[in-house]
Amino acid sequence: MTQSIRNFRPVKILVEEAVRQQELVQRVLARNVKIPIEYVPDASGVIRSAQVAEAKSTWQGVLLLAKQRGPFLRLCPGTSKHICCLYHNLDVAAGCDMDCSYCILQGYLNNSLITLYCNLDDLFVELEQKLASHPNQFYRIGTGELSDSLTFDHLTGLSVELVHYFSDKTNAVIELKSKSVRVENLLGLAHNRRTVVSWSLNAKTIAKEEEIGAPSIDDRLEASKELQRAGYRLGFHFDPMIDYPNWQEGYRETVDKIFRFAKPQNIAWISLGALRYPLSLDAIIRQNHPDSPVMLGELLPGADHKLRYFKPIRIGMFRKMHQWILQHSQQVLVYLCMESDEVWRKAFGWSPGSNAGLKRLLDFRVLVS
Amino acid sequence: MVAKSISTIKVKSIDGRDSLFQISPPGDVDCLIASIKEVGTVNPIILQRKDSQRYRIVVGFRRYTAATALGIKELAAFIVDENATDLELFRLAMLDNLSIHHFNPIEVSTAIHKLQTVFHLEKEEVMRSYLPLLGHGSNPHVYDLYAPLCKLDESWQQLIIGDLVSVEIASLMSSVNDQDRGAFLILIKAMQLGKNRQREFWALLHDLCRISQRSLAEVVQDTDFSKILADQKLTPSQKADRFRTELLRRRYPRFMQTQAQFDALIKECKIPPDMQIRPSSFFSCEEFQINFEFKNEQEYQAKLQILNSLMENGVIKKMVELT
Repeated sequence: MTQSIRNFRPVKILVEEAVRQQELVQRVLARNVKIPIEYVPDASGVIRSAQVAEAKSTWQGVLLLAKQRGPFLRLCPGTSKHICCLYHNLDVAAGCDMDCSYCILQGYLNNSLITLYCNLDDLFVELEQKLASHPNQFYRIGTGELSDSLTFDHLTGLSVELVHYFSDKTNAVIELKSKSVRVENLLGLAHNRRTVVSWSLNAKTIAKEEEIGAPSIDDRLEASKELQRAGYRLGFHFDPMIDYPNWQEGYRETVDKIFRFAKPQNIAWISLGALRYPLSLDAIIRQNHPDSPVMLGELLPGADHKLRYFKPIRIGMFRKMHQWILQHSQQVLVYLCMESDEVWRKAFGWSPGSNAGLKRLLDFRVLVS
Repeated sequence: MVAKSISTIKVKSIDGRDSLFQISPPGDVDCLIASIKEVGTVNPIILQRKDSQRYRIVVGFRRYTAATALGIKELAAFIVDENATDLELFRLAMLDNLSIHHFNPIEVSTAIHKLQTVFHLEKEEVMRSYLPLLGHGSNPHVYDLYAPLCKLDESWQQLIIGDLVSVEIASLMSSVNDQDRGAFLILIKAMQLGKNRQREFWALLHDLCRISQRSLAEVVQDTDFSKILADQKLTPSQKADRFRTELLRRRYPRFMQTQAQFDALIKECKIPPDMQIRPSSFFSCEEFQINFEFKNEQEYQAKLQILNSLMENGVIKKMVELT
C-alpha cells in the first residue's frame, strides 16, 4: 500500500546573501547540518545557470534559499474563455521533488532547482497589507501552485507559521495543497479552521505510474483522516484527471475511498480538472518522461490554445465524477478548474456562470470558522 | 604548418584510400575533370608525409580522384610540416573545405564524428571550438542533431544532402530500427512528403505505435494504409492527404468521428459552395460560423431560405448536438 514515504534531502544548499540572516534560512540549515552550503551573491544568476538544458541534471537535488523579489501573492491568471475561481497564489517556493510526469512546472520553471523564498518578514507584511486594506474582500490563498505545499515542510516548518497567521483572519483562508503525507507539523495547532488542507488525488494506477515520487493514494487519504481528526477542513483535487482505458474504475475507486476516510461536512471542496498543458510542454514531457502515456490521449488545442482532451471526453469524465461524488454526499461542493461555462453545464447540469459566481460558491464554503 | 614551396609529387605515391582527413565524399568529379583537361590543376593539393614512400591527402581528395581518372602522373602539392598534429591538419582540411563551400549536414556530421572518434575530442570541446567553425552555435542540441547523421545509410544521406528530409527527422532515424527506418523512407518517397508532413506523419505514427504497441513497419502494413499507397490512380499528394486522414482517424478517433459526422451533415444538406458553415476549431466551443455571399436582395433572400431550411430540417439541432 505504501509508496515509501520519503523526505526530500538536498544534495547541496545555496544561500543567497540577501537572506543569509533570515530565520527560515537558519532553520533550514540547522536541519541539514551535513549538507554542503554555498553562499551566492545573486539567486537569479543561479536560476539562469540551472535553466541551461545540459546543466539540468547537475542541479538536481540542489536547494536554493532565496529572496522573493516580486510579490508573494498573485491572483491566479486564469485562462481565457474559462471560468476561474479567482484564487490567490502565495509563492513561497518554486519547484517540487515529486517528479510527476504531467507536471506543468517542467515547462513553467524550466529548471530542476528547488527554490524556497526565505524573506518571510516581507511575506507577512505583504499579506497583512493586502488583507487589511481589503477587509470586505474574501481571499482563498494557496501555496500549491509553484510547488507542493507540504513536501518541504520538514525542512521549513513554514506550515506552522501560515496556519498560525491565518487562524485569526476573518477575510481569508489558506489552502495547503499537497500530495505529501508529512502532516505532523500541522497537528496540535490552533488553526481555527482557517486552514484547508487539500490533497491532489488521482486514480491509483496514475498515482503509481505518473506520480512516482509521491505517496500512494491510500497514504494521502490516511494523512487527510489524521488532519480531519485534528479539526481541519479538507479539500481534494482530481487534477489532472487522465483519460486511460480503465479510468472509470480507477477514479471511482478513489472517490469511494475519499468517503471512507473523510466526512462530507469536513470537505470544503472537491475540484476536477482534466489534463491540460501548453503546446510547448508536450515536447518537454516526452523528453523527461518518454515512457509515460499521458500525452497519448486525444489532446487537442482548446480555446485557450492549451492542449486539452477533446471536449466530449472531458465532459464525460466530469459528469461521471460528479455523479459518483454526489452519490456519496449531496452537500459536497464539486467544481471544475478552468473549464468553460458550456462544459460546466453539460457535465454538471448547471454553471456558476462567471469567475465571480464560482468565487462566491467557494468562499461561502469557508467564510466562517 | 604548410610548406611555402610547392613540390611535384608522383600520383602513385599518394595513398588515395587513406581518408583520415576526408570530410566530403568525392561525389561527381566530371566537372573537375573537364576543368583540369582545359587548364590543369590550378591549386596544389596538400599532403602529409606518411612514411618515406607514401603521402596522405590532407586537402584535395577530388583533385586526386580526377587526376587519377585522367591518368595524370604528377601533381603539384604543398607538403605539411612534420610537426603538425593530425588534429591541426584536420582543422586545416575543414577550413580549406569551408572556404569553398558550406558544409551540408552530412559533412557537418562527418566532421563531428571524426573529431570525436578519430581525434578523441570531448563533446564539450567539439561544441566550443568546432561547431561555430561549421556555422552552428555551441549548442548541445545542434551537436545531438547532427552527430548521428553520418551513420545513416546512403539512401537517407542522399535525401539529407538533397534537402529532401529535415535534419530533425533524419537525426531521429538514427535511433530507429532498420525496419521502421526503411518503412518511413518508403512513405517519404511514395508520397513525396515535404518536411512539415514528414514531421507530422512521424509524430502521428510514433504515437500510434505506442498506443497500439506495434512497430511502425507493422502499423503501416495495415490494409487501410497499404491500399492508399498501392492506389495507382492517386497522385503522391492525394495519397499523402488520405494517409494523413487515416492517421488522424486512428490517433484522434473521437474527434475525427465527430468531424466526419459534421461533414456528412453538411454534405447531406447540399449547401451551395459559396456558403460555408464551420464549427469552432476542434469543436472546442459551441459556436459555429456561417459565411455566405450575396449580390442583391434576391440572392440574400435565397441564402436565408437555405439557412432557414437547415433549421426546419433539424440540421442545426444535429450540429449543435455534435458539440
